[in-house]
Amino acid sequence: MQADKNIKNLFDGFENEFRKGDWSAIESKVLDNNRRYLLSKSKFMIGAAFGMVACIALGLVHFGTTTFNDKQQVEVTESNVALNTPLEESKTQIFSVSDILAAEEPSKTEELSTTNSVLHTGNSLDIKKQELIVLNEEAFIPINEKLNPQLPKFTMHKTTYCLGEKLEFISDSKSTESLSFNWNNKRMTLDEFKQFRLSSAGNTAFEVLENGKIIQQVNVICQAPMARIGYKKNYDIDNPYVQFSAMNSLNSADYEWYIDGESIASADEFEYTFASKGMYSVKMVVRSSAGCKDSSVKSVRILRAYNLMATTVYNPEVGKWLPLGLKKEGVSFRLRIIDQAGKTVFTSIDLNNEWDGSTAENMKVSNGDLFYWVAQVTDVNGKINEYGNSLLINSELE
Amino acid sequence: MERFINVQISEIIKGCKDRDARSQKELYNRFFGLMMAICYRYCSCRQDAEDIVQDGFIKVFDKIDSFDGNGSFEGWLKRVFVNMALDKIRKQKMQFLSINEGDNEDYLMRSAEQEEMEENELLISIGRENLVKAIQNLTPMYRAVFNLFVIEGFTHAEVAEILEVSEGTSKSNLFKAKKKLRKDIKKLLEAKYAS
Repeated sequence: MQADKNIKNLFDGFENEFRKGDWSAIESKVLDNNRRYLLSKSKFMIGAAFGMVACIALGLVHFGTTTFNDKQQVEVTESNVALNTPLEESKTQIFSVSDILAAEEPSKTEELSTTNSVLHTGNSLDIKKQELIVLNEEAFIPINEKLNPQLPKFTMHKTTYCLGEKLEFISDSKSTESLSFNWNNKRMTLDEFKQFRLSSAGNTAFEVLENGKIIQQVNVICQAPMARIGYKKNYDIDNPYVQFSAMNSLNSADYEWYIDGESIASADEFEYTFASKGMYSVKMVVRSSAGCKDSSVKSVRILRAYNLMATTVYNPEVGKWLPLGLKKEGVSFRLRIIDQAGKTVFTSIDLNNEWDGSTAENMKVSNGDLFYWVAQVTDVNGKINEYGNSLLINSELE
Repeated sequence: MERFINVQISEIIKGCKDRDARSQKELYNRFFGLMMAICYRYCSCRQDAEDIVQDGFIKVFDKIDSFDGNGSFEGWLKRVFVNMALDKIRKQKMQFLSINEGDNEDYLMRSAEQEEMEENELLISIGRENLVKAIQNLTPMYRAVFNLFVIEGFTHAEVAEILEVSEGTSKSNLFKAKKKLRKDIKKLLEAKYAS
């Protein structure tokens, strides 16, 4: 039903009327659920890993006595201890590791000695100790610091927003309590700022303060496109159409037009010929450069559809005959003229091929003869419509 | 720091499956409006809709592993939220379901064309905001049938299955829903022109 379709269309873009949700209302519940999920998953993983380790251990017990060299196993163990032990405790372990290195890998020891000889003088063993400790210190830089360099205190996630959207930003967790914001001569706490929504289009500036001191100025843009459909009717018999335009829309960069749910055009204006009478739903969706969306729907009632205006009386002696409406640009057609016996006397698919009143056998029609014409027309929208009427030959017609 | 600008929905879904809170928040922000718009049509007030949406997202995050990537994610999400809204209606079913199953034939005999004309006329005049108000004034069952049939596009057979009623009940509920809508919209318009 058309009315149902119109109602459905009316609800397209309805989501724009709702502001963003309050994530904080469900955040703790979601995080709890996440924790539970990950915990149950990790328990499963630990169980699986434990099972695997147990299997491997059993395998090692079985094969170790015959396959591995005892000394090699001890060395591996010592190395692991050194890497996982706090700095002070590890020093002694390092010596033991270096002793092993010195004893078993002369090339590495030589390399260290060469480096130290350039940098230092004195006892080579002390230098070796020092170098190893330095290397070890580097190894103990907390991994988080290595991966996450110092974050700025306050960074906007993005600078362009849609109307009603909350601001997205990242703040260094250590300084959140000391952060506040100035907007429009008003001071906001961080919590207030988190809830702040842009309520008008345009540029907005905020000052970010840390411990009451301005540390940063932030500029954001709020885009609020507004869809407004404009239209103009053209009543030409040969070329009836409606011109739809988005000229009254605001802050729009992209346009999409739909007629009865079917995508029709993506320009800011287009012409459309309605091929039949009825109610149509014309919808325009506009988007700003940042993707903010608005839509508008206009219901259009077509009382007189595009049709073929054609005379019902024709005098071959005066001129040629063709329905007027076929002269519209972009229309293709197939016209047939049929006599009362049902025989086709003339066909045409060309505007220049008009009927001159002669039949297929080159016979001329007589006064009072009655014919029928049928035209299948593919309109500018690609739809095929069929038209037809009677045509009376009247030699008295001027 | 992770940025979500231009991030594909598939990546957000993957993050949600890994229980990444930022992905969950992004999913929530992206779809809140749409899901509110859906739930709002099934509820009598905004607060009820918000409650359903909040619960719905918690359910989505819990059940997101069941979305296998086949088909539209938005479609899957909509089904979850429509079902959430309908669950609430099903719980109240006995309170409002008072339909005579045999009386639908008369309604169907009336001129569909005439009704369509009337509906169209009214729709042109009323606008979305008033239509939502009118839909919210319907009883929960009328509202559910109207939403499922007219807006979600289900057939009467499907509506009947979803709401666990007969197909005839679905049809007569829809008829009555539309009748009440027309009446309410006319009243609204009269009040509007009177003022």
